[in-house]
Amino acid sequence: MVAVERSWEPTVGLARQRALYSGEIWPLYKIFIVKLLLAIPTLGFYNFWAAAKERRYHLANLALDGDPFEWTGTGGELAIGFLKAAAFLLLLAVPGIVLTFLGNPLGSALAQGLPLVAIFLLGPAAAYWGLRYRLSRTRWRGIRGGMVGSGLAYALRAHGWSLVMPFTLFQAVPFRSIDLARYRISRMRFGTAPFEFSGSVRAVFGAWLAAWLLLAGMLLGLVALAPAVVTGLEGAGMIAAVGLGIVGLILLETLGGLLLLVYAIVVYRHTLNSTSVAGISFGTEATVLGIIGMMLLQILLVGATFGLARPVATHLNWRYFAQRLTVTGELDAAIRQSKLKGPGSGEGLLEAGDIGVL
Amino acid sequence: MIAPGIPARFYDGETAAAHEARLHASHGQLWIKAPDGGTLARWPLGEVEPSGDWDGRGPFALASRSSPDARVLVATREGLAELRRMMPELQRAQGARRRRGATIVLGGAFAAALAVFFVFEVAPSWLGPLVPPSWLEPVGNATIDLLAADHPLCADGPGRQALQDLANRLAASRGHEDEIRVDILETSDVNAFAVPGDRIVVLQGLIRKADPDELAGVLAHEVGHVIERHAHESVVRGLGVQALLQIMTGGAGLDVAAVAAAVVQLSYSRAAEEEADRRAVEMLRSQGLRTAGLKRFFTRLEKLEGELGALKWLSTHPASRERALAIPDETGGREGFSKAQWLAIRSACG
Repeated sequence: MVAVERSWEPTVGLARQRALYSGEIWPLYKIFIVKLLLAIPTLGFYNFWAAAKERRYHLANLALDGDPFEWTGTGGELAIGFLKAAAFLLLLAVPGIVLTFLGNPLGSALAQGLPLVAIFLLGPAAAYWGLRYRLSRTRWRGIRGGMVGSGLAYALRAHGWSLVMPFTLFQAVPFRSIDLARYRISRMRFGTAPFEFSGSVRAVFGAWLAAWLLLAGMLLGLVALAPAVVTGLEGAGMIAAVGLGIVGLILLETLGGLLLLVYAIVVYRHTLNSTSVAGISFGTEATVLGIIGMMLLQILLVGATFGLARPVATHLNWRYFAQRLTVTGELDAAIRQSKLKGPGSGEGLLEAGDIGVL
Repeated sequence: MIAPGIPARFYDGETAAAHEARLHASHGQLWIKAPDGGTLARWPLGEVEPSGDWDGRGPFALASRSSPDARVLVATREGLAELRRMMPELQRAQGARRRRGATIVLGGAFAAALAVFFVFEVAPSWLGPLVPPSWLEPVGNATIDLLAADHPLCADGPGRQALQDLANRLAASRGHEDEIRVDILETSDVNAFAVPGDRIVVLQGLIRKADPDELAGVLAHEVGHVIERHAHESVVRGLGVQALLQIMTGGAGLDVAAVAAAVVQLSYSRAAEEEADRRAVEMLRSQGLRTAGLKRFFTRLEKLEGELGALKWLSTHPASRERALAIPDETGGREGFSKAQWLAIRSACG
């Protein structure tokens, strides 16, 4: 018998190495097409199984140090999590529905509003629970991830930061970003090993200050200049000034969005570069411009093909981020299997508040 | 020479170590051996199953039910083929896995069909009678608002009043106590609706196309819906459809306008239509009116259907031929409206 050898990489050593993504486009299209075909006969419920299959594929094709990841989550878990969240939100709408049928004009607002308020308040908790579910269903070398701590405490912390934000003229944003990242990451586990976060506000403060100064400057400029320009003009000149003002506002919004995106990417990079577990430090070679380019490319691809190129976009996204993920260090041999019991169902509220089944 | 076994990678499920391994099958066990010949683990062949989908180029992961955290990875397709030859049990495990996948898809489709059947057919007839009448008023108002969004309601006048008087006389003959409100909608469609909250909307197109007997017959049919509380069922159906849509789109919140939209879209069940026909005949007779008009209307619709294709009435009120046959052709009674009333009805929308 001739055995075909696959050359396994040596165990993680001190040298820095990149993650490897070996996924292809066609298998994603197979999942995509089956999902489209089964969307109507299953009222969209097959999507959960398609999502689980897709994640299984991505993670099976992502390898660190020659060893692939494994996704063990199932469509059933996603479906049950979703149904739980949908039932919860419908239940919240019941008082409002009863009131509307009794002719109370406040009922409609209550039926629409209460679930939205709940989604807003529980949003950070949902993100936390979603992360815990994902970690508990991800394995590498047979070892499970996990997460300790409380999602509700995390939500409280996140909203607490939001409450003090206006009093700091939004200078607390980078403090919030780093504090929440530390809270999350230090509660993540790989087997028995806790993740560690060594990030600092200093590393992202500059990016925030630049964005803040530019935005505040433009806003102030617009507010200060507008009356002076408009009062000095009549007729057509005034219309032109108002038009310019509107163009200015749109520019401000676009530029503002871009500045906030740049800040978010700076935080993402710093967070990943400051995370380590069991002697292994993570890092990313993805650049701010590269990530923005990648996002634009995906938006264009999906938009231009009315969504038909979504598998291509997903593939490019995974390849881009996975192949720029780096690890350095030596894996601690004392790691044992996780004893944490993961959640029974997955990502319900995250899904319900986001896009749903269709 | 002894076969070296299939090259593989082994994770023990306890530590994060990755072991080089060789796989052999013998004595009902899958032997996972280190290159030096030491046994890393052995799994009963019947408990070995694929872990993951096994599409693509590999590696292909195996798990054992007896030690769920451990994994064996076979690197290549060739290795997997060799493993399949070595342990036919794997084929069965894979087949079971595929069947499970198919069961989920079929089960999902069946559950979805069941949910739709429940929402459209079962829930309305069970829960409909439990809906208090006072709940229907806001839905009815919202439904009228929707119907009147593109075409205005005609102004109040003797024509509208004549229709409403006849509707209430017919309803009273069956002991219906609440006042029925009838409105005329300015549109050329040939149709009439019973709306939740004891309301009826007659479209101007019906008044233009029908003669007095036919109009009285159709009105009696809609009164039949009102007194049998079919609107209760349609509100429950509308609620169910909306709840289903909310769940599918992941949206939150339900309100009366959404339910009303569903009420406008959905027609009554065929059983409800036939019941309304029977009540219409009974009520017309009890008032000494001819039933021939309703019969003639359905017969005419059937012919129109042949000429024009799908008329609006036909799309919401199916099988007009059978229904015409079920209605007695009584020409002996009085007309539903006086000459003056009919003139007023014809000119109700100016």
